[in-house]
Amino acid sequence: MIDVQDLTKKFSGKTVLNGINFQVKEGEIFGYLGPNGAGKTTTMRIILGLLKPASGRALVFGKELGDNDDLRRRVGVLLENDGLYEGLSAYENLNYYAQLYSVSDIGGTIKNLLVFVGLSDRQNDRVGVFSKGMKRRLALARSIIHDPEVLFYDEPSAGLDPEAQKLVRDLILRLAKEKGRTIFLNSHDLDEVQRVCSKIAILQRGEIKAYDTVENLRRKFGKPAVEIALADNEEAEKALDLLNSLDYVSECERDGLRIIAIIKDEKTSTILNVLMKEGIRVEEVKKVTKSLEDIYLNIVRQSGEKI
Amino acid sequence: MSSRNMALVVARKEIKNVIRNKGLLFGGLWFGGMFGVLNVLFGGQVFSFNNSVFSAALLVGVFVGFMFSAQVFLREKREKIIETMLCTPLNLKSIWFGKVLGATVPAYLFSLLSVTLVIIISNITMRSLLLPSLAILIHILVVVPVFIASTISLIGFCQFLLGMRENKIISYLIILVLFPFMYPSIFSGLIQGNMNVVISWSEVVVCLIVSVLLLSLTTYLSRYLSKEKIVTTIP
Repeated sequence: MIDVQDLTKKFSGKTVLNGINFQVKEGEIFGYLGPNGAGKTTTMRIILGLLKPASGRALVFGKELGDNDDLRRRVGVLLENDGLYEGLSAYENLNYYAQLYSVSDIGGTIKNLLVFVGLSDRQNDRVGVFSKGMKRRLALARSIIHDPEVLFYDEPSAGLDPEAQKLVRDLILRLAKEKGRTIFLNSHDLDEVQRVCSKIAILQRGEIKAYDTVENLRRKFGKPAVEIALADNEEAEKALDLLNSLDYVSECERDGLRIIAIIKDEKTSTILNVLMKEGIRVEEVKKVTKSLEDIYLNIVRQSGEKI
Repeated sequence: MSSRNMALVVARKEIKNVIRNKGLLFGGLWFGGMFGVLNVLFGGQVFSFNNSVFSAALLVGVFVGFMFSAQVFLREKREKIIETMLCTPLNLKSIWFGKVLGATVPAYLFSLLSVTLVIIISNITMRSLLLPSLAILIHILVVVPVFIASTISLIGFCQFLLGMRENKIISYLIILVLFPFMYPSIFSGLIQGNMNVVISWSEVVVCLIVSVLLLSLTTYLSRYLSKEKIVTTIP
């Protein structure tokens, strides 16, 4: 559905995107991750036809969006700005965009959408008096007013409080699950991407450093680790030295009574035996799964980026 | 829906947005109203009746149009709403045309308001029935709306094409140039010699030619406007 081929973009001679390649299939929620300035928004702008690439192609439904007015009817967007007019009411805003997209049953569509985003009781209020979270929810409704097949969301929950973030996240998940929409999600919120996306690409200084499903990335980049909770603080240094001396332990970190050991193989029981043989009392030993955050930070740090 | 109808949707929204912006409305009323009152009450030495009506229609329309274009073009760009608009099925020309129309209609209404004020106050102060000449009537009904539309389209073009700093400089220049003409009673020494002419058909035709030239110029320049130019100059 979205096919980005060898995309390159330069601003004033400086390369901001370099050979970007990825595909997003129908029904997928694709997370495009990266630190600020990595080139996420530039990529999205090129796909949407707002910017022209220096080389390469960005296809949606097999064609470039550029000046293809009809193709843009099949795409919904929620960019950094909500795209709402503060002087108009919630209803008037949706009505305006519904007319631009030639929506057939405007009244019915707006009514359903306002229920969907939980703003049906505020339809006649001016958007200027809405909270940031309410504006974002209304913007979500705006983005799907014409029932598009593909949605492009740029940091949809940025700057919202945790409750509003959850509401927006749930709405995106509902759009994907209930309506089967394909969603391209630009974000630097790892938690959001982890919860919502089926596939991700990690962008770093204009280049894709990782591109796969979250599970595959965990398998690929996430080293197995064991978390050991000690009973006595005085034994912590001894335990740390012991673990560091083992050839199958590559790295150890201590945080109070807890030690995280990165191991080459999953030898949880062996580690427990070694510690007990040396008389170190252990409260708990458990395997730790690498979070997307750890993977992301590993990739970004390997590239030498300051976070 | 055709491109023309879509442009009309944009224009209707812009008019609604302008009307609901109290600050903008107050500004328009202030400049339009004050122009009429000041020039008739204190500018009698400078302007004849027909001169007052001629310049009220033109200058108020252009100045208020300039104020409205800041809301219609520049604010939408500064607040990045334009990016969402550029992703809709509208092409750039329809968006631009809709916005020019949306700023021209209320600016023209303010121009008519100012003309009405000038006529009423002149009739009261002169204690005789004063009506605009035929040339002035044609000027008000034909030339002024075209002139307002042409200046708004040129200003809008610059506001879309250029960055915020360049637009700020252009705004200051427009204010500096227009303000002395807006209030000749204040700046009478500066412009008396130029404005103390009898308005006839030739002045009206010159205005029409200038406005058509401005429109042609903007239409020609519009080929240099692209989505990329707009997006890359968003602050």
